Amino acid sequence: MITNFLLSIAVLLLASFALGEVFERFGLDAVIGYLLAGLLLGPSILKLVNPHIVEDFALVGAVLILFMAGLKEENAAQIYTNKKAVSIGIALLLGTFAAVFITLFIMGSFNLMQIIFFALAFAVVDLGVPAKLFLSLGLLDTEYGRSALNAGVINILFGFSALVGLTLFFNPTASAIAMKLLGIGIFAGLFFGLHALINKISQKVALFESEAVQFTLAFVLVLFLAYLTEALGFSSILGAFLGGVVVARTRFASTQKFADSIKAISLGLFVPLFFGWFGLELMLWGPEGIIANIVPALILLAVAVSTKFIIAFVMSKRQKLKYPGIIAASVLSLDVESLVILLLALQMGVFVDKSAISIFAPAVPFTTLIISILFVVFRKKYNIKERGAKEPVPSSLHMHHYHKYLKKHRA
Amino acid sequence: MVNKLLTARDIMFRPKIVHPRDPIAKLKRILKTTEDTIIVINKRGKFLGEIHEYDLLKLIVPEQEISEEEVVGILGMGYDRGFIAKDARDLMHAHDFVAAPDTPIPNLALIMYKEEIRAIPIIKNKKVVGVVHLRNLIKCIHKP
Repeated sequence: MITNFLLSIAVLLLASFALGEVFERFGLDAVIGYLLAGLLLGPSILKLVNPHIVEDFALVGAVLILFMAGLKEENAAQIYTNKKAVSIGIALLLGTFAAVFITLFIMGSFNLMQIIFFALAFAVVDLGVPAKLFLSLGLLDTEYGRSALNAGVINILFGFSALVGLTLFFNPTASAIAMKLLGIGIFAGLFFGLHALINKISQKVALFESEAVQFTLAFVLVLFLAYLTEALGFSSILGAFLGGVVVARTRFASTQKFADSIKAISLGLFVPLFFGWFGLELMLWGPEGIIANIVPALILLAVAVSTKFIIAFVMSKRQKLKYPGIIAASVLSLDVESLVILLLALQMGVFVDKSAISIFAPAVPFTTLIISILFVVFRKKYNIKERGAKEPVPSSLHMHHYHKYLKKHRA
Repeated sequence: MVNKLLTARDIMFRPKIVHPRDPIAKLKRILKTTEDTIIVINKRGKFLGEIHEYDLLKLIVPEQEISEEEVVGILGMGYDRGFIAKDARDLMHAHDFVAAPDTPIPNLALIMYKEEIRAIPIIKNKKVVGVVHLRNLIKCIHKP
């Protein structure tokens, strides 16, 4: 086991990047590679990196993920006007939540709060994998591509709104709820105050010559809001999200340099570390491990996937959307969004051991596989051709081959 | 070297204006003329953002070459609508870098240089009265 902090970070980062890149090359989500890197290096297999050493770094990663989500939130407002997307997104959330809730209730191994958090984690959808598939086929700019994305955004936004509500009712004694409501009041005052004043404040911030100073001040604001929400009894990552919403209104947030700075530090460092750490926390063996929990994991996966597919297929068909099979397949993926919900539940002490992560973990690679297979099946069924695919250009050509190539393509 | 006495008023043009719901076809028609940046305003005349011809590239680049993170980010709480744009608001680069008519030219250049924007709306009484494009500024350079 590596005991040095710097070496632990370096090894985890390198392995995450390497596996993430391999998964990307095969058209899969890099996040699965990061998780697998953590699983390989962690206590279950190679025993090289101790999860507790990188835990604090991973927390900053979670804060940054939510901060970046907050920056994008402004863009989502337009989607609310799309009635079809709103109805599919909400039906998916409620229907899947109910189905997983009932299944877990029948299983009888979890308390009410654990069931609620689990059901929510399975009810939200992921946009990364379907977006990747649509892009790889050149089908994003189609009616069904747009419908799938819009329904997904609505599902995620409502899912995270429900999550905020849940944090209020965790540990529901009257005094605890009263304290949290007071906390919400204070935080809301601060949030809306900042929201209203941020443009004036940011004009002063924009006076700073260096973009680095603007970035630092934005990051300090986010960390401060994250700390404040934690001190008020909520999760820090909720504060980070609201921090992102506030910062998105600033003048400097609209500049390319700011976006590039955030992207580099998040996607290049903290995000792989966060998911790598999540992988480190995964256990293969023992009563809390993936193997011991594979049966409930597969049951929940089957319930969530079949419910989502039926709801999305039936509703798309009723709303006369083209290719309902493709839309239904694209809402099946479970990934980052659900992991963040479970992380928040772990942070709040809803789950006392790691079996929750072990039950959920198989859903990430399995749903990616299912959605990829269904895309192939429905493309064949509907006869959907890949759009805008480029002719492959051989990398090394002899001259006569090159002239043949030119002749063919000029013709 | 530029004439430091010149201000935005001396070089600004009447802006080509669209509204957020205007279709892509209208943007294409405008960009066929000499303009390279379109100003987007709301019904009350308030400046919302700009669309440079560069922004329309998003509609042409092969989707296969775009990473999903560019489109949906990490958590899918919104996405870049530029790649599936239907109207001006989907392509618009929203910002609020504006200037008054008496802003000296070096200051306009500084805003464009620092903020990586290609046109600055000139605002008087909260309404857009003109626009200074990058090319207008370049014309002001007097160097042998």
